[in-house]
Amino acid sequence: MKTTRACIGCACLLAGMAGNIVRAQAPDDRDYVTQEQYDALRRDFETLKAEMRADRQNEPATASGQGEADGPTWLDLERTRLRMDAIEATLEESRAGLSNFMVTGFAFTRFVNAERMDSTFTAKFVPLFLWQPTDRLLFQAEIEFGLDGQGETEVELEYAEASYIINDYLTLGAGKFLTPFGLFAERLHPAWINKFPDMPLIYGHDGIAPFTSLGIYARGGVPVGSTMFNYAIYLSNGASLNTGEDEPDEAGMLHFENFSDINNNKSVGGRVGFLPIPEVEFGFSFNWGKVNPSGSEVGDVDAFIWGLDFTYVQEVDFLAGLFDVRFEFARSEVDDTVFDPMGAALFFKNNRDGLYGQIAYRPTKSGIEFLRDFEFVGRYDYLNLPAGAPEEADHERWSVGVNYWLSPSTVLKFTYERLEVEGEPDTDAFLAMFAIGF
Amino acid sequence: MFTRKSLFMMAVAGAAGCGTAALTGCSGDGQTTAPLTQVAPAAFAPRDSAALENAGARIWARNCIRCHNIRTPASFSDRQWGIIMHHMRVRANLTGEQHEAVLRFLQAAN
Ligand code: HEC
Repeated sequence: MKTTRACIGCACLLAGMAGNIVRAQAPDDRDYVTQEQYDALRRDFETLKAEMRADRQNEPATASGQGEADGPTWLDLERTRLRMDAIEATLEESRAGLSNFMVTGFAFTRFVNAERMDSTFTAKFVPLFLWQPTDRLLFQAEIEFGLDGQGETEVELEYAEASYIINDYLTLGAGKFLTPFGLFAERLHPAWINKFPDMPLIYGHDGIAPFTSLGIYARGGVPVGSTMFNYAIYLSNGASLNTGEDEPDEAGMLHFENFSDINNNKSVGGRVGFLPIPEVEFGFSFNWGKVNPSGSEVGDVDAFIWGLDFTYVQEVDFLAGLFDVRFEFARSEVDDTVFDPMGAALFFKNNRDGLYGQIAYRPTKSGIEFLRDFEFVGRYDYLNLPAGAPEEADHERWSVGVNYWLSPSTVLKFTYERLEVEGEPDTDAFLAMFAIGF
Repeated sequence: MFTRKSLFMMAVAGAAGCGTAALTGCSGDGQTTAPLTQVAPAAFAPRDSAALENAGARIWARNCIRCHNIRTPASFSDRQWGIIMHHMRVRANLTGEQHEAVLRFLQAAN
Protein backbone atom coordinates (compact mmCIF):
# COMPACT_ATOMS: atom_id res chain seq x y z
CA MET A 1 0.00 0.00 0.00
CA LYS A 2 2.66 2.43 1.12
CA THR A 3 4.81 1.45 -1.86
CA THR A 4 1.94 2.01 -4.25
CA ARG A 5 1.30 5.44 -2.83
CA ALA A 6 4.99 6.30 -3.11
CA CYS A 7 5.06 5.09 -6.70
CA ILE A 8 2.08 7.20 -7.65
CA GLY A 9 3.70 10.18 -5.93
CA CYS A 10 6.91 9.60 -7.84
CA ALA A 11 5.16 9.20 -11.12
CA CYS A 12 3.34 12.51 -10.65
CA LEU A 13 6.53 14.24 -9.64
CA LEU A 14 8.44 12.85 -12.56
CA ALA A 15 5.63 13.69 -14.92
CA GLY A 16 5.61 17.20 -13.48
CA MET A 17 9.36 17.50 -13.85
CA ALA A 18 9.35 16.08 -17.33
CA GLY A 19 6.67 18.59 -18.26
CA ASN A 20 8.77 21.38 -16.88
CA ILE A 21 11.89 20.22 -18.69
CA VAL A 22 10.01 19.98 -21.98
CA ARG A 23 8.59 23.37 -21.34
CA ALA A 24 12.04 24.61 -20.31
CA GLN A 25 13.12 24.08 -23.87
CA ALA A 26 10.26 26.22 -25.16
CA PRO A 27 10.98 29.84 -25.86
CA ASP A 28 8.26 31.19 -23.51
CA ASP A 29 9.93 32.74 -20.39
CA ARG A 30 7.02 31.95 -18.12
CA ASP A 31 7.77 28.24 -18.49
CA TYR A 32 11.31 28.38 -17.11
CA VAL A 33 11.96 27.13 -13.56
CA THR A 34 14.21 28.96 -11.21
CA GLN A 35 17.18 27.22 -9.63
CA GLU A 36 15.29 27.39 -6.31
CA GLN A 37 12.23 25.66 -7.70
CA TYR A 38 14.41 23.07 -9.35
CA ASP A 39 16.26 22.35 -6.09
CA ALA A 40 12.99 22.02 -4.16
CA LEU A 41 11.60 19.56 -6.65
CA ARG A 42 14.85 17.66 -6.64
CA ARG A 43 14.77 17.41 -2.82
CA ASP A 44 11.21 16.08 -2.93
CA PHE A 45 12.22 13.55 -5.52
CA GLU A 46 15.22 12.37 -3.48
CA THR A 47 13.06 12.03 -0.34
CA LEU A 48 10.54 9.88 -2.21
CA LYS A 49 13.29 7.74 -3.66
CA ALA A 50 14.72 7.17 -0.19
CA GLU A 51 11.28 6.25 1.17
CA MET A 52 10.77 3.75 -1.61
CA ARG A 53 14.14 2.21 -0.95
CA ALA A 54 13.42 1.92 2.76
CA ASP A 55 10.06 0.34 2.01
CA ARG A 56 11.61 -2.21 -0.26
CA GLN A 57 14.20 -3.07 2.38
CA ASN A 58 11.46 -3.45 4.97
CA GLU A 59 9.45 -6.01 3.03
CA PRO A 60 11.71 -9.05 3.46
CA ALA A 61 12.79 -7.84 6.90
CA THR A 62 9.21 -7.87 8.24
CA ALA A 63 8.51 -11.21 6.68
CA SER A 64 11.29 -12.62 8.84
CA GLY A 65 9.90 -10.90 11.91
CA GLN A 66 12.18 -7.84 12.01
CA GLY A 67 11.32 -4.22 11.53
CA GLU A 68 8.14 -4.42 13.66
CA ALA A 69 9.27 -1.47 15.72
CA ASP A 70 8.81 0.85 12.71
CA GLY A 71 5.04 0.42 12.85
CA PRO A 72 2.77 -1.64 10.62
CA THR A 73 4.18 -2.77 7.32
CA TRP A 74 2.38 -3.96 4.21
CA LEU A 75 2.53 -7.52 5.53
CA ASP A 76 0.83 -6.55 8.79
CA LEU A 77 -1.81 -4.73 6.84
CA GLU A 78 -2.30 -7.71 4.58
CA ARG A 79 -2.64 -10.01 7.59
CA THR A 80 -5.18 -7.68 9.18
CA ARG A 81 -7.14 -7.57 5.94
CA LEU A 82 -7.25 -11.37 5.77
CA ARG A 83 -8.35 -11.54 9.40
CA MET A 84 -11.07 -8.99 8.74
CA ASP A 85 -12.26 -11.04 5.78
CA ALA A 86 -12.44 -14.16 7.96
CA ILE A 87 -14.38 -12.34 10.70
CA GLU A 88 -16.77 -10.95 8.13
CA ALA A 89 -17.34 -14.44 6.74
CA THR A 90 -18.00 -15.85 10.24
CA LEU A 91 -20.41 -13.06 11.03
CA GLU A 92 -22.19 -13.65 7.77
CA GLU A 93 -22.48 -17.36 8.53
CA SER A 94 -23.96 -16.78 11.97
CA ARG A 95 -26.36 -14.08 10.90
CA ALA A 96 -29.76 -14.87 12.36
CA GLY A 97 -31.68 -14.81 9.11
CA LEU A 98 -35.25 -15.89 9.43
CA SER A 99 -34.81 -19.27 11.07
CA ASN A 100 -32.81 -19.96 14.23
CA PHE A 101 -31.41 -23.34 15.04
CA MET A 102 -29.31 -24.67 17.90
CA VAL A 103 -28.26 -27.93 19.48
CA THR A 104 -28.04 -28.30 23.26
CA GLY A 105 -28.80 -31.30 25.48
CA PHE A 106 -26.83 -33.42 27.89
CA ALA A 107 -24.71 -36.53 28.33
CA PHE A 108 -23.77 -38.72 31.25
CA THR A 109 -21.80 -41.72 32.43
CA ARG A 110 -23.17 -43.67 35.36
CA PHE A 111 -21.69 -46.34 37.57
CA VAL A 112 -23.94 -48.62 39.62
CA ASN A 113 -22.73 -51.13 42.16
CA ALA A 114 -25.68 -52.85 43.86
CA GLU A 115 -25.58 -55.82 46.20
CA ARG A 116 -26.12 -59.21 44.53
CA MET A 117 -25.74 -57.65 41.09
CA ASP A 118 -22.82 -57.12 38.74
CA SER A 119 -21.56 -53.56 38.88
CA THR A 120 -21.66 -51.72 35.62
CA PHE A 121 -21.01 -48.47 33.79
CA THR A 122 -23.60 -47.04 31.43
CA ALA A 123 -23.51 -43.94 29.27
CA LYS A 124 -25.98 -41.82 27.34
CA PHE A 125 -25.78 -38.95 24.95
CA VAL A 126 -28.96 -36.91 24.64
CA PRO A 127 -28.83 -34.07 22.13
CA LEU A 128 -31.69 -31.58 22.07
CA PHE A 129 -32.48 -29.79 18.82
CA LEU A 130 -34.19 -26.43 19.01
CA TRP A 131 -35.46 -24.71 15.91
CA GLN A 132 -37.28 -21.40 16.01
CA PRO A 133 -38.59 -20.66 12.51
CA THR A 134 -40.48 -17.57 13.73
CA ASP A 135 -40.88 -15.63 16.98
CA ARG A 136 -43.98 -17.66 17.78
CA LEU A 137 -43.06 -21.08 16.49
CA LEU A 138 -40.65 -23.48 18.22
CA PHE A 139 -39.72 -27.02 17.32
CA GLN A 140 -37.88 -29.09 19.95
CA ALA A 141 -36.69 -32.66 19.73
CA GLU A 142 -34.58 -34.69 22.15
CA ILE A 143 -33.00 -37.94 21.06
CA GLU A 144 -31.49 -40.39 23.49
CA PHE A 145 -28.52 -42.48 22.36
CA GLY A 146 -27.62 -45.34 24.67
CA LEU A 147 -25.96 -48.74 24.55
CA ASP A 148 -27.62 -52.07 25.19
CA GLY A 149 -25.97 -55.12 26.77
CA GLN A 150 -24.88 -56.44 23.37
CA GLY A 151 -22.99 -53.30 22.44
CA GLU A 152 -25.63 -52.12 20.01
CA THR A 153 -26.59 -48.44 20.01
CA GLU A 154 -30.12 -47.81 21.20
CA VAL A 155 -31.87 -44.73 19.89
CA GLU A 156 -35.03 -43.33 21.42
CA LEU A 157 -37.01 -40.29 20.47
CA GLU A 158 -37.52 -38.78 23.92
CA TYR A 159 -39.67 -35.98 22.58
CA ALA A 160 -40.34 -34.12 19.34
CA GLU A 161 -42.93 -31.37 19.35
CA ALA A 162 -43.84 -28.07 17.78
CA SER A 163 -45.43 -25.25 19.76
CA TYR A 164 -47.02 -21.99 18.75
CA ILE A 165 -47.41 -18.92 20.96
CA ILE A 166 -51.00 -17.69 20.60
CA ASN A 167 -50.73 -14.80 23.04
CA ASP A 168 -49.01 -13.74 26.27
CA TYR A 169 -50.81 -16.43 28.27
CA LEU A 170 -51.41 -19.31 25.84
CA THR A 171 -49.17 -21.62 23.82
CA LEU A 172 -50.46 -24.54 21.77
CA GLY A 173 -48.37 -27.57 20.88
CA ALA A 174 -48.45 -30.97 19.22
CA GLY A 175 -46.20 -34.00 18.97
CA LYS A 176 -44.51 -36.27 21.45
CA PHE A 177 -43.92 -34.18 24.55
CA LEU A 178 -42.73 -34.60 28.13
CA THR A 179 -45.97 -35.00 30.05
CA PRO A 180 -46.83 -31.99 32.19
CA PHE A 181 -47.71 -34.27 35.08
CA GLY A 182 -45.92 -33.60 38.35
CA LEU A 183 -42.37 -32.33 38.34
CA PHE A 184 -39.88 -34.96 37.37
CA ALA A 185 -40.55 -35.70 33.69
CA GLU A 186 -40.83 -32.15 32.50
CA ARG A 187 -38.52 -30.33 34.84
CA LEU A 188 -36.01 -32.58 36.51
CA HIS A 189 -35.22 -35.55 34.28
CA PRO A 190 -32.10 -34.19 32.47
CA ALA A 191 -29.03 -35.64 34.16
CA TRP A 192 -27.51 -32.19 34.77
CA ILE A 193 -30.68 -31.13 36.64
CA ASN A 194 -31.64 -34.28 38.57
CA LYS A 195 -29.90 -34.28 41.97
CA PHE A 196 -29.54 -38.08 41.91
CA PRO A 197 -28.11 -40.54 39.39
CA ASP A 198 -31.47 -42.35 39.10
CA MET A 199 -35.21 -41.63 38.86
CA PRO A 200 -37.75 -41.64 41.67
CA LEU A 201 -39.62 -44.95 41.93
CA ILE A 202 -42.94 -43.50 40.73
CA TYR A 203 -41.35 -42.81 37.31
CA GLY A 204 -39.83 -45.18 34.81
CA HIS A 205 -40.94 -48.51 33.41
CA ASP A 206 -42.40 -49.84 36.66
CA GLY A 207 -43.67 -46.44 37.77
CA ILE A 208 -47.17 -45.04 37.83
CA ALA A 209 -46.81 -41.47 36.51
CA PRO A 210 -46.76 -40.66 32.80
CA PHE A 211 -43.41 -39.52 31.38
CA THR A 212 -44.10 -38.67 27.75
CA SER A 213 -47.35 -38.34 25.80
CA LEU A 214 -48.25 -38.23 22.15
CA GLY A 215 -50.93 -35.69 21.31
CA ILE A 216 -51.73 -32.00 21.62
CA TYR A 217 -51.54 -29.50 24.45
CA ALA A 218 -52.34 -25.96 25.57
CA ARG A 219 -50.34 -24.24 28.31
CA GLY A 220 -49.30 -20.93 29.78
CA GLY A 221 -48.91 -18.76 32.83
CA VAL A 222 -51.22 -16.12 34.32
CA PRO A 223 -50.16 -13.59 36.95
CA VAL A 224 -52.79 -12.85 39.60
CA GLY A 225 -51.76 -9.91 41.74
CA SER A 226 -48.31 -10.65 42.98
CA THR A 227 -48.84 -14.41 42.64
CA MET A 228 -48.71 -16.62 39.60
CA PHE A 229 -50.73 -19.51 38.20
CA ASN A 230 -49.61 -21.83 35.46
CA TYR A 231 -51.53 -24.50 33.61
CA ALA A 232 -51.12 -27.23 31.04
CA ILE A 233 -53.84 -29.39 29.55
CA TYR A 234 -53.37 -32.14 26.99
CA LEU A 235 -55.15 -34.74 24.92
CA SER A 236 -53.09 -37.80 24.12
CA ASN A 237 -53.08 -41.46 23.11
CA GLY A 238 -52.94 -42.13 26.84
CA ALA A 239 -51.69 -45.14 28.70
CA SER A 240 -52.16 -48.77 27.72
CA LEU A 241 -53.06 -51.51 30.17
CA ASN A 242 -50.91 -54.58 30.21
CA THR A 243 -53.44 -57.41 30.08
CA GLY A 244 -50.80 -59.98 30.89
CA GLU A 245 -51.33 -61.91 27.66
CA ASP A 246 -47.74 -61.40 26.50
CA GLU A 247 -46.08 -60.49 29.80
CA PRO A 248 -47.93 -62.28 32.63
CA ASP A 249 -45.69 -60.66 35.26
CA GLU A 250 -46.84 -57.23 34.25
CA ALA A 251 -50.61 -57.85 34.20
CA GLY A 252 -52.38 -54.74 35.46
CA MET A 253 -49.50 -52.32 34.86
CA LEU A 254 -49.97 -49.17 32.82
CA HIS A 255 -47.50 -48.36 30.07
CA PHE A 256 -47.13 -44.88 28.71
CA GLU A 257 -45.25 -45.71 25.51
CA ASN A 258 -48.57 -45.90 23.67
CA PHE A 259 -47.43 -44.52 20.35
CA SER A 260 -50.06 -45.96 18.05
CA ASP A 261 -53.11 -45.94 20.23
CA ILE A 262 -54.44 -49.28 21.40
CA ASN A 263 -57.98 -47.93 21.47
CA ASN A 264 -60.13 -45.19 20.03
CA ASN A 265 -60.31 -43.22 23.23
CA LYS A 266 -57.95 -40.42 23.97
CA SER A 267 -56.69 -39.52 27.42
CA VAL A 268 -57.08 -36.10 28.88
CA GLY A 269 -54.69 -34.72 31.45
CA GLY A 270 -53.11 -31.63 32.84
CA ARG A 271 -51.49 -29.79 35.67
CA VAL A 272 -52.24 -26.56 37.53
CA GLY A 273 -49.48 -24.85 39.45
CA PHE A 274 -49.72 -22.00 41.94
CA LEU A 275 -46.76 -19.86 42.98
CA PRO A 276 -47.52 -17.52 45.88
CA ILE A 277 -43.91 -16.33 45.52
CA PRO A 278 -41.41 -17.39 42.85
CA GLU A 279 -39.58 -19.64 45.31
CA VAL A 280 -42.61 -21.80 46.16
CA GLU A 281 -44.93 -23.81 43.93
CA PHE A 282 -47.84 -26.16 44.62
CA GLY A 283 -49.13 -28.35 41.81
CA PHE A 284 -52.01 -30.69 41.08
CA SER A 285 -51.91 -33.06 38.11
CA PHE A 286 -54.30 -35.59 36.62
CA ASN A 287 -54.57 -37.98 33.70
CA TRP A 288 -57.75 -39.82 32.80
CA GLY A 289 -58.64 -42.16 29.94
CA LYS A 290 -59.59 -45.60 28.70
CA VAL A 291 -56.62 -47.93 28.84
CA ASN A 292 -57.84 -51.33 27.60
CA PRO A 293 -56.79 -52.46 24.12
CA SER A 294 -59.76 -52.49 21.66
CA GLY A 295 -61.51 -55.85 21.65
CA SER A 296 -59.54 -57.16 24.61
CA GLU A 297 -61.12 -59.67 27.02
CA VAL A 298 -60.55 -57.34 29.98
CA GLY A 299 -63.48 -55.20 28.76
CA ASP A 300 -63.76 -51.43 29.21
CA VAL A 301 -61.20 -50.20 31.71
CA ASP A 302 -60.60 -46.57 32.70
CA ALA A 303 -57.59 -45.30 34.60
CA PHE A 304 -57.43 -42.14 36.65
CA ILE A 305 -54.03 -40.97 37.80
CA TRP A 306 -53.59 -37.92 39.94
CA GLY A 307 -50.74 -36.26 41.75
CA LEU A 308 -49.65 -33.49 44.06
CA ASP A 309 -46.32 -31.72 44.01
CA PHE A 310 -44.45 -29.09 45.93
CA THR A 311 -41.30 -27.09 45.18
CA TYR A 312 -39.27 -24.76 47.34
CA VAL A 313 -36.02 -23.31 46.03
CA GLN A 314 -34.36 -20.44 47.84
CA GLU A 315 -31.03 -19.17 49.01
CA VAL A 316 -31.42 -18.85 52.78
CA ASP A 317 -29.14 -16.24 54.30
CA PHE A 318 -28.87 -17.50 57.84
CA LEU A 319 -28.10 -21.02 56.63
CA ALA A 320 -25.61 -19.65 54.12
CA GLY A 321 -26.83 -21.71 51.22
CA LEU A 322 -29.36 -22.71 48.61
CA PHE A 323 -32.16 -25.08 49.53
CA ASP A 324 -33.93 -27.13 46.89
CA VAL A 325 -36.87 -29.10 48.28
CA ARG A 326 -39.21 -31.23 46.13
CA PHE A 327 -42.08 -33.47 46.94
CA GLU A 328 -44.33 -35.48 44.63
CA PHE A 329 -47.14 -37.88 45.32
CA ALA A 330 -48.95 -39.87 42.62
CA ARG A 331 -51.80 -42.35 42.72
CA SER A 332 -53.15 -44.50 39.92
CA GLU A 333 -56.64 -46.01 40.11
CA VAL A 334 -57.58 -48.54 37.44
CA ASP A 335 -61.13 -49.94 37.08
CA ASP A 336 -61.73 -53.44 38.35
CA THR A 337 -61.29 -56.19 35.81
CA VAL A 338 -60.26 -59.81 35.64
CA PHE A 339 -56.90 -60.58 34.05
CA ASP A 340 -56.30 -63.94 32.53
CA PRO A 341 -52.58 -64.47 32.18
CA MET A 342 -51.91 -68.03 31.10
CA GLY A 343 -55.51 -69.10 31.61
CA ALA A 344 -55.63 -68.45 35.37
CA ALA A 345 -58.22 -65.81 36.26
CA LEU A 346 -56.65 -63.10 38.35
CA PHE A 347 -58.44 -60.35 40.17
CA PHE A 348 -56.99 -57.59 42.34
CA LYS A 349 -57.81 -54.00 43.26
CA ASN A 350 -55.55 -52.26 40.79
CA ASN A 351 -54.59 -49.15 42.76
CA ARG A 352 -51.02 -48.00 43.15
CA ASP A 353 -49.44 -45.02 44.81
CA GLY A 354 -46.05 -43.63 45.59
CA LEU A 355 -44.13 -40.53 46.46
CA TYR A 356 -40.73 -39.03 46.81
CA GLY A 357 -39.46 -36.19 48.95
CA GLN A 358 -36.01 -34.81 48.40
CA ILE A 359 -33.88 -32.04 49.77
CA ALA A 360 -30.66 -30.56 48.47
CA TYR A 361 -28.50 -28.04 50.26
CA ARG A 362 -25.61 -26.22 48.68
CA PRO A 363 -23.55 -23.87 50.88
CA THR A 364 -23.41 -21.20 48.21
CA LYS A 365 -22.69 -18.48 50.75
CA SER A 366 -20.19 -20.36 52.85
CA GLY A 367 -17.07 -18.45 53.90
CA ILE A 368 -15.03 -21.37 52.62
CA GLU A 369 -15.06 -20.90 48.87
CA PHE A 370 -14.19 -24.53 48.16
CA LEU A 371 -17.36 -25.71 49.91
CA ARG A 372 -19.67 -23.68 47.68
CA ASP A 373 -19.43 -26.19 44.86
CA PHE A 374 -20.58 -29.10 47.01
CA GLU A 375 -24.20 -30.10 47.37
CA PHE A 376 -25.60 -32.47 49.97
CA VAL A 377 -28.70 -34.39 48.94
CA GLY A 378 -31.19 -36.74 50.54
CA ARG A 379 -34.29 -38.50 49.20
CA TYR A 380 -36.95 -40.84 50.46
CA ASP A 381 -39.32 -42.59 48.10
CA TYR A 382 -41.75 -45.47 48.02
CA LEU A 383 -44.05 -47.26 45.62
CA ASN A 384 -47.03 -49.31 46.79
CA LEU A 385 -48.22 -52.01 44.41
CA PRO A 386 -51.60 -53.79 44.55
CA ALA A 387 -51.80 -56.87 46.75
CA GLY A 388 -52.63 -59.90 44.65
CA ALA A 389 -51.03 -58.54 41.46
CA PRO A 390 -48.24 -60.61 39.82
CA GLU A 391 -45.84 -57.90 41.02
CA GLU A 392 -47.14 -56.87 44.39
CA ALA A 393 -44.07 -56.20 46.53
CA ASP A 394 -43.98 -52.64 47.85
CA HIS A 395 -40.75 -50.71 47.43
CA GLU A 396 -39.18 -48.26 49.82
CA ARG A 397 -35.86 -46.48 49.34
CA TRP A 398 -33.53 -44.10 51.14
CA SER A 399 -30.85 -42.21 49.21
CA VAL A 400 -28.14 -39.83 50.40
CA GLY A 401 -25.45 -38.25 48.34
CA VAL A 402 -22.85 -35.60 47.70
CA ASN A 403 -22.65 -33.74 44.42
CA TYR A 404 -19.78 -31.63 43.21
CA TRP A 405 -20.56 -28.91 40.67
CA LEU A 406 -17.76 -28.21 38.22
CA SER A 407 -19.89 -25.64 36.39
CA PRO A 408 -23.58 -24.68 36.54
CA SER A 409 -24.38 -27.63 34.28
CA THR A 410 -21.55 -30.08 34.96
CA VAL A 411 -21.80 -32.28 38.02
CA LEU A 412 -20.27 -35.29 39.69
CA LYS A 413 -22.78 -37.21 41.84
CA PHE A 414 -22.05 -39.85 44.46
CA THR A 415 -25.07 -41.55 45.99
CA TYR A 416 -25.61 -44.31 48.48
CA GLU A 417 -29.00 -46.06 48.48
CA ARG A 418 -30.84 -48.63 50.49
CA LEU A 419 -33.78 -50.30 48.75
CA GLU A 420 -36.27 -52.33 50.73
CA VAL A 421 -38.52 -54.58 48.70
CA GLU A 422 -41.24 -56.39 50.66
CA GLY A 423 -40.32 -60.01 51.26
CA GLU A 424 -36.77 -59.63 49.95
CA PRO A 425 -33.47 -58.81 51.64
CA ASP A 426 -32.51 -55.13 51.58
CA THR A 427 -30.26 -53.99 48.77
CA ASP A 428 -27.49 -51.45 49.32
CA ALA A 429 -26.17 -49.69 46.27
CA PHE A 430 -23.52 -47.17 45.41
CA LEU A 431 -24.10 -44.99 42.37
CA ALA A 432 -21.89 -42.39 40.75
CA MET A 433 -22.55 -40.18 37.79
CA PHE A 434 -20.74 -37.61 35.73
CA ALA A 435 -23.30 -35.45 33.92
CA ILE A 436 -22.88 -32.51 31.64
CA GLY A 437 -25.49 -30.21 30.12
CA PHE A 438 -24.27 -28.39 27.05
CA MET B 1 -28.90 3.25 30.26
CA PHE B 2 -27.23 0.29 31.96
CA THR B 3 -23.84 -1.09 31.22
CA ARG B 4 -23.68 -4.83 30.70
CA LYS B 5 -21.59 -5.23 33.79
CA SER B 6 -23.96 -3.21 35.98
CA LEU B 7 -26.97 -5.18 34.74
CA PHE B 8 -25.29 -8.41 35.53
CA MET B 9 -24.21 -7.17 38.94
CA MET B 10 -27.75 -6.09 39.64
CA ALA B 11 -29.06 -9.54 38.87
CA VAL B 12 -26.40 -11.27 40.86
CA ALA B 13 -27.26 -8.98 43.75
CA GLY B 14 -30.89 -9.86 43.16
CA ALA B 15 -30.05 -13.50 43.47
CA ALA B 16 -28.46 -12.78 46.84
CA GLY B 17 -24.87 -12.05 46.16
CA CYS B 18 -21.81 -14.16 45.89
CA GLY B 19 -23.67 -17.37 46.56
CA THR B 20 -25.39 -17.26 43.25
CA ALA B 21 -22.23 -15.98 41.70
CA ALA B 22 -20.80 -19.30 42.77
CA LEU B 23 -23.76 -21.05 41.18
CA THR B 24 -23.18 -19.29 37.95
CA GLY B 25 -19.51 -19.97 38.14
CA CYS B 26 -18.66 -16.28 38.19
CA SER B 27 -17.18 -15.97 41.66
CA GLY B 28 -15.98 -12.50 42.40
CA ASP B 29 -18.59 -10.67 40.31
CA GLY B 30 -21.18 -10.51 43.07
CA GLN B 31 -20.02 -7.91 45.56
CA THR B 32 -23.18 -7.60 47.60
CA THR B 33 -24.64 -10.06 50.02
CA ALA B 34 -27.97 -8.23 50.29
CA PRO B 35 -30.70 -10.79 50.83
CA LEU B 36 -32.95 -11.38 47.90
CA THR B 37 -36.06 -10.02 49.57
CA GLN B 38 -34.50 -6.59 50.02
CA VAL B 39 -33.63 -6.35 46.38
CA ALA B 40 -36.83 -7.62 44.87
CA PRO B 41 -40.27 -7.69 46.46
CA ALA B 42 -42.40 -10.74 45.86
CA ALA B 43 -43.46 -10.06 42.33
CA PHE B 44 -43.31 -11.84 39.04
CA ALA B 45 -44.23 -9.07 36.66
CA PRO B 46 -42.45 -5.79 36.09
CA ARG B 47 -45.38 -3.81 37.53
CA ASP B 48 -43.70 -0.52 38.24
CA SER B 49 -40.35 -1.11 36.63
CA ALA B 50 -38.55 1.79 35.08
CA ALA B 51 -36.70 -0.50 32.75
CA LEU B 52 -37.62 -3.84 31.31
CA GLU B 53 -34.03 -5.04 31.67
CA ASN B 54 -34.13 -4.23 35.36
CA ALA B 55 -37.31 -6.28 35.77
CA GLY B 56 -35.78 -8.97 33.58
CA ALA B 57 -32.78 -9.19 35.89
CA ARG B 58 -35.05 -9.74 38.89
CA ILE B 59 -37.24 -12.30 37.15
CA TRP B 60 -34.12 -14.09 35.93
CA ALA B 61 -32.56 -14.22 39.38
CA ARG B 62 -35.68 -15.55 41.10
CA ASN B 63 -37.40 -17.68 38.47
CA CYS B 64 -34.66 -19.28 36.46
CA ILE B 65 -33.26 -21.07 39.53
CA ARG B 66 -36.56 -22.87 40.17
CA CYS B 67 -35.63 -25.91 38.14
CA HIS B 68 -31.89 -25.79 37.54
CA ASN B 69 -28.72 -23.82 38.21
CA ILE B 70 -28.54 -20.47 36.53
CA ARG B 71 -26.21 -20.06 33.58
CA THR B 72 -24.50 -16.70 33.23
CA PRO B 73 -25.69 -14.34 30.51
CA ALA B 74 -22.25 -14.72 28.92
CA SER B 75 -22.85 -18.45 28.39
CA PHE B 76 -24.76 -17.82 25.17
CA SER B 77 -24.93 -15.32 22.32
CA ASP B 78 -27.91 -13.02 21.76
CA ARG B 79 -29.22 -15.29 19.05
CA GLN B 80 -28.90 -18.40 21.24
CA TRP B 81 -30.64 -16.68 24.15
CA GLY B 82 -33.48 -15.84 21.77
CA ILE B 83 -34.04 -19.54 21.06
CA ILE B 84 -33.43 -20.70 24.66
CA MET B 85 -35.82 -18.15 26.14
CA HIS B 86 -38.52 -19.26 23.72
CA HIS B 87 -37.87 -22.83 24.89
CA MET B 88 -37.99 -21.79 28.56
CA ARG B 89 -41.11 -19.71 28.07
CA VAL B 90 -42.93 -22.85 27.00
CA ARG B 91 -41.30 -25.13 29.58
CA ALA B 92 -41.65 -22.80 32.55
CA ASN B 93 -45.03 -21.33 31.54
CA LEU B 94 -43.73 -17.77 31.51
CA THR B 95 -45.98 -14.95 30.34
CA GLY B 96 -45.09 -12.93 27.24
CA GLU B 97 -44.00 -10.04 29.43
CA GLN B 98 -41.71 -12.15 31.62
CA HIS B 99 -40.23 -13.76 28.53
CA GLU B 100 -39.43 -10.43 26.93
CA ALA B 101 -38.03 -8.89 30.11
CA VAL B 102 -35.64 -11.78 30.81
CA LEU B 103 -34.57 -11.96 27.17
CA ARG B 104 -33.81 -8.23 27.08
CA PHE B 105 -31.77 -8.54 30.25
CA LEU B 106 -29.80 -11.56 29.05
CA GLN B 107 -29.06 -9.98 25.69
CA ALA B 108 -27.96 -6.73 27.33
CA ALA B 109 -25.81 -8.42 29.96
CA ASN B 110 -24.01 -11.09 27.94
C1 HEC C 1 -40.06 -25.20 35.06
C2 HEC C 1 -38.67 -25.50 35.14
C3 HEC C 1 -37.71 -24.54 34.48
C4 HEC C 1 -37.60 -23.20 34.69
C5 HEC C 1 -38.41 -22.33 35.62
C6 HEC C 1 -36.52 -22.76 33.83
N1 HEC C 1 -35.97 -23.82 33.16
FE1 HEC C 1 -34.39 -23.75 31.90
N2 HEC C 1 -34.58 -25.73 31.55
C7 HEC C 1 -35.51 -26.57 32.15
C8 HEC C 1 -35.31 -27.92 31.66
C9 HEC C 1 -36.11 -29.15 32.08
C10 HEC C 1 -34.25 -27.86 30.75
C11 HEC C 1 -33.65 -29.03 29.96
C12 HEC C 1 -34.42 -29.26 28.70
C13 HEC C 1 -34.25 -30.67 28.21
O1 HEC C 1 -33.13 -31.18 28.15
O2 HEC C 1 -35.28 -31.26 27.85
C14 HEC C 1 -33.80 -26.48 30.70
C15 HEC C 1 -32.76 -26.03 29.92
C16 HEC C 1 -32.24 -24.77 29.96
C17 HEC C 1 -31.06 -24.33 29.26
C18 HEC C 1 -30.22 -25.19 28.33
C19 HEC C 1 -30.63 -24.93 26.90
C20 HEC C 1 -32.01 -25.41 26.56
O3 HEC C 1 -32.82 -24.57 26.08
O4 HEC C 1 -32.33 -26.59 26.78
C21 HEC C 1 -30.87 -23.01 29.57
C22 HEC C 1 -29.75 -22.11 29.10
C23 HEC C 1 -31.96 -22.61 30.44
N3 HEC C 1 -32.76 -23.70 30.68
C24 HEC C 1 -32.14 -21.33 30.93
C25 HEC C 1 -33.25 -20.95 31.69
C26 HEC C 1 -33.58 -19.58 32.01
C27 HEC C 1 -32.80 -18.36 31.55
C28 HEC C 1 -34.69 -19.61 32.77
C29 HEC C 1 -35.47 -18.45 33.35
C30 HEC C 1 -36.27 -17.72 32.45
C31 HEC C 1 -35.07 -21.00 32.94
N4 HEC C 1 -34.18 -21.78 32.25
C32 HEC C 1 -36.14 -21.44 33.71
C33 HEC C 1 -36.46 -26.21 33.08
C34 HEC C 1 -36.67 -24.93 33.52
